[in-house]
Amino acid sequence: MLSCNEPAAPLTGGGEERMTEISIAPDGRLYVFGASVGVLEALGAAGLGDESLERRLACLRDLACRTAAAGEQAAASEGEAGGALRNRSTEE
Amino acid sequence: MTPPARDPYSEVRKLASPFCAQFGASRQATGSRLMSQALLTQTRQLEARQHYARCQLCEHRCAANRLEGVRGPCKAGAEARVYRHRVESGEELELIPSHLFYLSGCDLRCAFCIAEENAFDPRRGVPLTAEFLRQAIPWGKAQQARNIQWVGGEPTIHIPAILEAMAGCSDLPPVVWKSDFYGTPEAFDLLDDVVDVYVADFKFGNDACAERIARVPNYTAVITRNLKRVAAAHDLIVRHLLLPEHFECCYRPVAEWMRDHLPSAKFSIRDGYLPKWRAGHFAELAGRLDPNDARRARLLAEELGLNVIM
Repeated sequence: MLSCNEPAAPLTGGGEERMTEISIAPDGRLYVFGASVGVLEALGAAGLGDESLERRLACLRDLACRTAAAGEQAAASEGEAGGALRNRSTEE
Repeated sequence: MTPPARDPYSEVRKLASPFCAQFGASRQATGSRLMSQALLTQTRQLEARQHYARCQLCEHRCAANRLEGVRGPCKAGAEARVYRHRVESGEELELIPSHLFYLSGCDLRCAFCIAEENAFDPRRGVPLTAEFLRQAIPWGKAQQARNIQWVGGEPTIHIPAILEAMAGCSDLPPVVWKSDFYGTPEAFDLLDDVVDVYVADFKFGNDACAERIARVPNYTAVITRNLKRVAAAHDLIVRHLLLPEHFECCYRPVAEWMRDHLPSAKFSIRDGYLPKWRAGHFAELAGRLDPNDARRARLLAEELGLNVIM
């Protein structure tokens, strides 16, 4: 069974917003509507994707890495700036 | 000493991601977003709200007094409702992950609409307010969303409510506007410097198909005017959903128009047609798209030298 964990979108209720619709054509083509990262990863892991899905997942993973790295860098910069401010206020 | 206010999306904007790299260095500037936010002024909002009294937001130009409960072709009143919002990763790579806000109500009546009742009944969903957006946006950011995207139905008919909701948020991410592009120049004026990226659905290649399938007049004149206007000053993605048996009458004219007028604009060919809503009322739309049409479409786009991104 495919599974992925996603937090429910708040405020609109009903749970419909959590549903991904997948239609399967007689020739085996999948039509996916409302694709979260989790759903795409699950489809990829199940071998249900094609080259375009792999490219999409690669893009998303790359973005996630870059965002995490940029966030860490920003946190480190803020920490240094805070330290400089604290040092300066101590001196003053 | 107080540190300067920090744009929480600054790191996202600086990333040399497909979104930032392809949509121009100017969009990366923290200052441009903070300036855009400032433009959501009381003046802009009041100007937008005037359309509730005499609506001219779309080219139906019905002049309905939505404040008094008069309904035009879109059937929308003086509030906007969100029937769904979620972070989606099936959009163009330049945009994903994107936090989509789906608004009910639409100025078109496309028989094949995948949103079905949600698109055409503006009473569906919860009211769009600044409070709603203030709660929703952080949720989307926690799911790694890089932008918020207004979709429908059709967001143009809800510009006043959208501007008011966004004006009430202090940390707006980049704004994507996905539209049928049937809006008036006055509507696009209201969005100037507020929207970062436009995504236009160029649905039909001729007026006859637009009138027959979506019940909308003067389609090609309106959409091509708006496409040229937006492309001149904004980042734009043009989408076309391939319809069964509409290759020659719709897709080819769309592709050739793009070659003649917007050859470098990002072009997204969507081949995931499914016969939804009332597609069965039209014989040719009741079935699925021939896979050969998708291949032919991409081949033609290549021959025409279009900038196909999807």
